[in-house]
Amino acid sequence: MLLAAWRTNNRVTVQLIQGLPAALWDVPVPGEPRRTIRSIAAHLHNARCMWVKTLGREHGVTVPTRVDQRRVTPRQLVAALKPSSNGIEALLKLGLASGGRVPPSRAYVWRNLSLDVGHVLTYFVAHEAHHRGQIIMVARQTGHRLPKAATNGLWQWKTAASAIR
Amino acid sequence: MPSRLDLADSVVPVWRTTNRITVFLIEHLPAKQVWSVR
Repeated sequence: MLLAAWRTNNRVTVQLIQGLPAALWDVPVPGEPRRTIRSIAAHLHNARCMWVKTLGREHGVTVPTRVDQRRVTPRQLVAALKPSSNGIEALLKLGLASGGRVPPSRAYVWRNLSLDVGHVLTYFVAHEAHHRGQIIMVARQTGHRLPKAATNGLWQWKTAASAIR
Repeated sequence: MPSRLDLADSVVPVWRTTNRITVFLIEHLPAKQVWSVR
């Protein structure tokens, strides 16, 4: 159940990225011109990489390769999201196999997150939802109406979960 | 397969955490500057 929930979240993220018009990719965030929709989208993947490295590497989880937030293309990012999703899934499996908690790791010094699998999953899902919302907000603020291909799947969680089974 | 009790033990505290974070955010929004911004 928990793994399926993560896969659904990943699918929703991937569908949003796939549906974004290319013209939006370099739109700057109002008030933060060094950030763009591209860099927010890249952060989704790079944050996964960071957490897999922090929590999983010393337990044998393979750390995915980061992307360049200034150069990554939508196609490259969509491809990268697959191994990073697998990495998060490996973290969750590690926790499930360890009595429901991701085991402690020396690299985890921030300690803002309870490491029971429920909190770990919810934290990652909330993080992605936060940045998906930012992308949509920036698009609207800058006068870009997102196509249905980008927005239709955002709340189709049942359909996404069913399609995976 | 986890029992109903196991799921409740693991999922309900997670929900309480997300609710606490939402409430914390709302409570700390500067009312004058942010609440009615369009």
